[in-house]
Amino acid sequence: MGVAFWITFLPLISFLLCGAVSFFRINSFRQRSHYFGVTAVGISLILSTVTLLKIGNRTFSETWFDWFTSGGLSAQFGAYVDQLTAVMFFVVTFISFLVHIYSIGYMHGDPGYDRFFAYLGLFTFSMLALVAAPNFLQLFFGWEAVGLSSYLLIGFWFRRKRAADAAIKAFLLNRVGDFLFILGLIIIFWTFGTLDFHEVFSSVNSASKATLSLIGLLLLGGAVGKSAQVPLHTWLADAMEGPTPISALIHAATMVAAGVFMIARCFPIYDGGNVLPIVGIIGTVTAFGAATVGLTQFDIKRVLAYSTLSQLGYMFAALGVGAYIYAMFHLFTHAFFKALLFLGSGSVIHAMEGEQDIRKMGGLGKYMPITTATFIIGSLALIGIPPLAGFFSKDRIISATFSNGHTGFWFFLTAGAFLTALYMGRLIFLVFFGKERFETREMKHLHESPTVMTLPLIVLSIPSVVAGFLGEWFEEFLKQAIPNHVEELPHSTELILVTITVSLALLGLLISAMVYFARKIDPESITENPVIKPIYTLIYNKYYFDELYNLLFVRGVGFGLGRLASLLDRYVIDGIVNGTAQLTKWSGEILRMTQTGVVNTYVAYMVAGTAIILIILLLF
Amino acid sequence: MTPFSLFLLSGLLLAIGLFGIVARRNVISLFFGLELILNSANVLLVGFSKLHGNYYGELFVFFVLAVAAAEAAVGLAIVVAIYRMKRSINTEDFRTLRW
Repeated sequence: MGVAFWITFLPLISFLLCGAVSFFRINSFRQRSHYFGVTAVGISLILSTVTLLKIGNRTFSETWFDWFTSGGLSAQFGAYVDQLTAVMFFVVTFISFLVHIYSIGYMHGDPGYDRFFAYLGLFTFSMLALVAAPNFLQLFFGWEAVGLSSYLLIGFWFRRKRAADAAIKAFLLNRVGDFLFILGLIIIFWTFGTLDFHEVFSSVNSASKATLSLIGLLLLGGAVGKSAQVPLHTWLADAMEGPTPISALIHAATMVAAGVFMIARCFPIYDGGNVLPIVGIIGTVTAFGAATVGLTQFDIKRVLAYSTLSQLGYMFAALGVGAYIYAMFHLFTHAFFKALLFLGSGSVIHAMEGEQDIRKMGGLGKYMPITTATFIIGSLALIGIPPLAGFFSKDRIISATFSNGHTGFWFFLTAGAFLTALYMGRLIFLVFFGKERFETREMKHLHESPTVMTLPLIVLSIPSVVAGFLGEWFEEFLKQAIPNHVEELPHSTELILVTITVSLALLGLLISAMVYFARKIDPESITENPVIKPIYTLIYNKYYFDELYNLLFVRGVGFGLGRLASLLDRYVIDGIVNGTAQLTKWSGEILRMTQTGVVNTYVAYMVAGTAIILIILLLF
Repeated sequence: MTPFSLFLLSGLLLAIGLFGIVARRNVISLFFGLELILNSANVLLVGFSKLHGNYYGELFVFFVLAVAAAEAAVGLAIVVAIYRMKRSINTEDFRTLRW
């Protein structure tokens, strides 16, 4: 059992221990469940860091145990650790570790404290098993297991109907993607006769372009579901019903990036097929569309959720133009600053006693300086202000789309960068600056969060600032695992592109400052403008995706099937049951005629019976 | 009197007895039919006794007669009991076994 085994299975041990504490209600440990979680994930983090630093240009494989063997299919649990996996190991354990620490403060006193840490351990294990996977089957196992833990954690406060509904919605929408994903796996097995990454990728040349495209498309379906891209994106905003640390860990930094990781891992299939443009279109549409929605929402976590959608869209766009490494780099930096933003928003919500509406905040800056400072760092990193992390990763993606000739992508991604600055500026100015719009009840409770919560914020703000400088190293490092098809741009062109993006980002910040800080323009007057109003309504309602799905699938297909099932039940099933009863009744009615009750009849039967037996005996 | 004519007589008695218990509704008549069937067996026993040239069959008839006498007494007592209960000895009037 090598190092990858311990990295992956330590969180599982934490899950089992916390689960036992929760299940058997071991009271002395219930409010101390974090001992297990923090220790296990902490050791995991140390091992991951060592792995990342020491792996260099090597790769290694581990076989842990056989899962099952069935016909030609032999499923093994193990690890294939290359540079890509090493990076993911580090990101997952790092964020998970900080979220564990943060949760000690955030979930303090919650009756489900032990259960929460158990689920966190389960999630971390599943995610690590996913990224360690040496074959498609383990990948799928991790894929489903993170979906399960995501479901459990979104519905963590399952007594709230909205949380329970959101959990089911997330699970169902993921199921659509996962169904396509498993179809993809079946076709892979059918075509190549194996599910092992090495064997599949080394024989992709033997498969036809059409087959590879089909496989790529089906796997993309899974990625679209898990990474919440259009059109399966609607679950992510609702997933914000879960506890905020979960939003940071699962629905911003790690799980939703699994789709990006999977496509990067399967690059030979995508390079061989024709699917990449579709990946790019989905990514660009999501990046731009989600950014517009983020601009109109009033729930602090929903704004960040749409921002996550948008940033995942950037990663997909990067994958779509073949810039696998840039997608991974953006995943890497985004994990830090988006986790930071979510944890910061959790700190705000904690201080506001559960209030999430940014219209009821304002002026929080002087009450919670650490949260404010780190949140602003995270926002600037997200907006892409140099020299913060987001600038390097996002700018690489944007120039890669341009240099690879996808000017359409480039245009919308640049516009998306502008919108990002706008909605993040709006968020900062509405929450931390300006007039205090909350009531005295919240006022009394207003305070900076405890150290266990601010410490992760401070730690996360460091990579949010400096991670961008790792770009060159990151590129060289990952080049050993995945390719990066990007045309070199002339230096002057690149400079122009950078200037455009950065100045647009600054312009966005400036406009939001004018509107929400200096109050030069009343935002109401913009949204009430007769030309903009219909567009605003459309965007505010998230392009009516939920309503459309409700109409099509819930009311249309769902209720249609329900009605059909009801008819089937009422007429066919009930028909069989009632028919049996009727038949019995009728036959009874007829047969009772033979029972006259008169002695003579029975004698006659006896005589007739004896006669028949006699005849039979005589004849045969 | 050959045994054969005795067999014939026995068959005849059986047929008449059967007809009696199947067709008649009067309990007394039914009883007659029953007795006839019993006695057709007696006649048969006598016939076989003659055929085989020994007296076992005829001996057995006496037992049957004794049993038949007892049975007649019990049967008639039942008929009287039924009559007391239902004021009728027509079989169609006591069909309480039917549902």
